[in-house]
Amino acid sequence: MATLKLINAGKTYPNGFEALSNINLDVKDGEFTVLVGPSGCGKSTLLRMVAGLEEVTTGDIMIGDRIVNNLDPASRKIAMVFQNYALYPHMTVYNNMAYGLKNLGTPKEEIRERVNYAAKLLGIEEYLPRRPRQLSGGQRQRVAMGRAIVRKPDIFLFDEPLSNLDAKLRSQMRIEIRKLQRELAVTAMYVTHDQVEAMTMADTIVVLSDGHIEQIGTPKQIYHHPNSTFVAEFIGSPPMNLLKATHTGNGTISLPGDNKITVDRKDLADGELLLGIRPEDIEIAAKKSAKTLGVDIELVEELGAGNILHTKLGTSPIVISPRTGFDTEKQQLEIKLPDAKLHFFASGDGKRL
Amino acid sequence: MRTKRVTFRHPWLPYLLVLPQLIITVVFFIWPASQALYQSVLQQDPFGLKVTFVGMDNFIELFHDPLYLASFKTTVIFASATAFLSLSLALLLAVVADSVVKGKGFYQGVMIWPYAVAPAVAGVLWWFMFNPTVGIMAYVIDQTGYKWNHFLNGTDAMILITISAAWKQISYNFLFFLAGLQAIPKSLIEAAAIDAAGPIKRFWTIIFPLLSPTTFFLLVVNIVFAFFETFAIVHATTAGGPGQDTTILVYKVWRDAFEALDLGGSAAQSVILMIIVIAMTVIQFRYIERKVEY
Repeated sequence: MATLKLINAGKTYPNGFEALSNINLDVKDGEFTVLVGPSGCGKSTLLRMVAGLEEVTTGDIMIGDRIVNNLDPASRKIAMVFQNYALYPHMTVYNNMAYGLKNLGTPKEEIRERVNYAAKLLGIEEYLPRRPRQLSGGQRQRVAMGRAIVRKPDIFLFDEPLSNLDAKLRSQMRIEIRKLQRELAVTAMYVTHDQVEAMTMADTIVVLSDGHIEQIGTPKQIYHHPNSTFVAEFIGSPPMNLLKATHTGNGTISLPGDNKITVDRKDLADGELLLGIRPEDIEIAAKKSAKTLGVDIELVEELGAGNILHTKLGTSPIVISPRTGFDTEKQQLEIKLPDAKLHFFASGDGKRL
Repeated sequence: MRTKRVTFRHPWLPYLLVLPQLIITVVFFIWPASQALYQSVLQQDPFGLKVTFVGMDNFIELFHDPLYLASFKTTVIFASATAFLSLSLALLLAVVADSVVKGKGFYQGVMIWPYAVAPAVAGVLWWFMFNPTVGIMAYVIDQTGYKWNHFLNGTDAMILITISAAWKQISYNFLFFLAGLQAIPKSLIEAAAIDAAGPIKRFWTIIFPLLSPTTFFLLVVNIVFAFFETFAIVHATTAGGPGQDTTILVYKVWRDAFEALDLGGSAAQSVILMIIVIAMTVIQFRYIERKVEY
């Protein structure tokens, strides 16, 4: 159990490519932090730097009160679960889990105890004498977790551990990992490109883009107050609608298709901006009024529990996932954009206004 | 693994397609092999004038011949030494090549060259280097106080043919080992590093066991090579001498047939060699199919 601190950490490869720059992050003891971002954003590199598999070129990484920049992976008291599980194929499940402890010279009796404890915790006791290739994906995943648990690490590192599983197993393992981490109260850092995993598992989400941190926050903060259009579009499915709009003064905003709305935001500067609204925040109005906007329905996606409507406001596409029922026969719909649910972003750099 | 079933429209087409291979096999393998089998139960006088059927006499005589048994022992020593030397050096080089960052392609390319050298040329090359009068290696060894002379010393001669043969096989083994190393997922090595295994421990507990299918395959290939394909090396370096000290089985087959003109005895020897190679192939296929894949 320990805190994890990254201070101005950065990574530049020998060929000059800057993978990460100025990463500042403070992970509290027992916290579950999820690094999320599109592929190539540097999230895995960051995790591997914490693990000691990649060198830190600038800044410091601290685990507890130790600076670990120059420590090898083994002495950092971390354990890592790899995307492909990285189980040793020639060893039994038992030996896979015991390998690290053996290398540390742990007494045999204690090894057995710890492996059995972890196996019981994960429900893989009966697989202990088997080899990894005799196990299913989910079971392998558990063994990989078990291997991490037996070492009693200060920090758990997960590198997209669920991406090789099918959808059903993934959501199941998601919950299991989260429960387990709470039970063991170990600090965890988890890398994923899946925003659903990030939202459901994290205490703190770190959104990365192009080697820098876009935003750090709880899932709620990230979802409801995205700092930029990047975060707004990345988190949430379907993603947030972003409309090109112009502020013409006094909170009057003109939208595509000669529509206008008035918002209570006197602080906005005049000129172009981006108006964001989440698909589920859009309300469907029963009647046309001065406060509603007319949209044309282009396509309806049936999800069973609800629908996703692909519509157009003027020429701009808007996606709506209505909370209330609506008349499916209609070609047109009147919608309302609630003031409190609107987000404004600068049209240039996409920062929140 | 699922094999794809291919169906041909004309029933004779598949046979036609394998025909060239069949012809080669029959002409260059089945036919001479059956000739050897036939010869091995005959006795022929050196001038080829009289042929007698003698049954198993040739074989019985062989196993009572101390020279043949000595040759057997020589071959076993030679084959295991060659296999061990070439495998261990190739593995070492492959591990180094795998970790080289700069000039990888060049290094790996150069490593392949010895394989392109004909066995006889390789033999002569080493023969020159170890030549007691003019050889550079012999000179170096002389400096240490040891008088190297493979013309007189049986052990020296054995070392010489072992080095020559192993050197030729290193390239081949290197390629397989390198491919084997590259097939090991990097994350396994990283997981082991996190599991507190140092580089040497990682090698012996993770990498080496994972390479075992490759190692076993190469072991058989190398033994087969040492048993059967080293005639040219022996002929070009020691010619089986001094005395009988480097007369390995294949060399003895040739010498007994074409110098001693004992065709029946030589044929019997080649039949025994044939049985050995068949046995090794069977072991290899059995073992590789069953155990080695993870």
